[in-house]
Amino acid sequence: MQSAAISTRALDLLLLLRGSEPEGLGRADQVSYQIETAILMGILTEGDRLPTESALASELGISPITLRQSLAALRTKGLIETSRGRSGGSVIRRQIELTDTQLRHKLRDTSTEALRDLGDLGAAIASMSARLAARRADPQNVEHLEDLVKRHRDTADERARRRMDSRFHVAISIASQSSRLTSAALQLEAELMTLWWGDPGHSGSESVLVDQHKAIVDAIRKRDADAAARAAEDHSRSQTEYLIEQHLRLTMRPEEGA
Amino acid sequence: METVKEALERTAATLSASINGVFADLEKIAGAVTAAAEAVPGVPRRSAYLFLKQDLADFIKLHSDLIVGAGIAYAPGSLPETPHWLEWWRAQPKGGPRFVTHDLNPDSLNYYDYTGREWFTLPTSTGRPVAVGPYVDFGGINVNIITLCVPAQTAQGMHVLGCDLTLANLEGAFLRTLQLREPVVVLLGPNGRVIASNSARIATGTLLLDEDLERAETLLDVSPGNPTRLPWKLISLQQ
Repeated sequence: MQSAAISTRALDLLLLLRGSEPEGLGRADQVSYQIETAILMGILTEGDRLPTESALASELGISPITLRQSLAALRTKGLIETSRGRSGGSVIRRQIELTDTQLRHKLRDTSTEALRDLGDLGAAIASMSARLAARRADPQNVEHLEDLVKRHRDTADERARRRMDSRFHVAISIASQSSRLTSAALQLEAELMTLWWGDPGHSGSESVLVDQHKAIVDAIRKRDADAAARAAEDHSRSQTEYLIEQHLRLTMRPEEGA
Repeated sequence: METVKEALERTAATLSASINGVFADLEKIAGAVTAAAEAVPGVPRRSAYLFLKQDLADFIKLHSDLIVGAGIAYAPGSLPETPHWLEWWRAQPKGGPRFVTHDLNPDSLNYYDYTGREWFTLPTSTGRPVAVGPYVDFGGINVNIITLCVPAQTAQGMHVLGCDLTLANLEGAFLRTLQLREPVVVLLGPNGRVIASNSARIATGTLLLDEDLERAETLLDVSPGNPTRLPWKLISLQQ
């Protein structure tokens, strides 16, 4: 089985996802949810090997018994595979792909008010992250952001591009050197990932999106904090408007309205 | 082909019929409260109103497509047991509604002083039913809601029966009835706040901008027969 140990960075991001889970879950289910979200967002990808049970349990701050329950649940879903022995451990087996219908229903059933509220938080996180990144991003951070903009632009697969978009936004928060903003950005992106972003190539807004990303990175590179914050806020607002637009369309579609 | 004005009138008629149906049932419960207070000699205790738990549970269930909760706020000082008393129930995904606890301790940070909230002051000062909001009910159920309020007059003071409509439920009802993407149509609350709209730019919960209001083409009361009880307007904007 081809596998590689997950990076420290992936593990850090996984830990930052804590708190994004729905209310009322037990500790084991919370951890399963955290790992599933990380898979959904592409933080963990097929072939990634999780740390040993004892190491992962202590990173997550739970008992090995609880972790075993979480892993068993993920195994049942076919998301991970566990083997014994020296090179053993749990390995991510597949990417989670929500179906178009699942994503559409979720977007239809999320009210404009809830989307607006999510968008408000997103705009606040994005603009402050960009503002701080303009003052704090080092050349390496900027290079990484530029690379992500290009990879987002060049990714043909719709879902993969969505994941790249998320990574770009989280990377801005990382460049802002604020772990709380990064954690908030991750949780927000995880939630956005469960909504429908439209038919592939149907929106015609891809080039607008790429231009908006470039504008944010340009401002960060020039260390223009106000411009970075403004560009990030504009981008976030137009994304929210797009989601609400889709929600309205789906709600008014008679055959799906019930 | 239906004109925009006809579409607005149709939407207004459907919305007001649903909301007025909820009002009518709440008024029946308010009537029962008044009758219960008259039926006992002297000052009624809380036990005189025990029937409300079942009545409100049935009411919530009957209107679950629109409302998420309902309850009663007693006139301050009207009950012998306690100066303030609020009984509110919230619909649950499964089973009967759950009692919502409010912090009625005046010394607490979370003190929920319902006697100062608009949904209590408005119906008690006018003596008439009214739809209040949209507003975010912090300390209450913490979501953006509209409360339909009906006063219940007793010798001890005016109690208020109320129920909460979520904007999410209203939006669904509005959009499914309207079935129109253009022109922009806004369902507006009395405080100038957008209850729902068919435009992504004019989102629920925001204030309708003056520049948008100036573009109003057709403007009509949702409930022309009783605009003080249901003070909502439907507005279509010029393209």
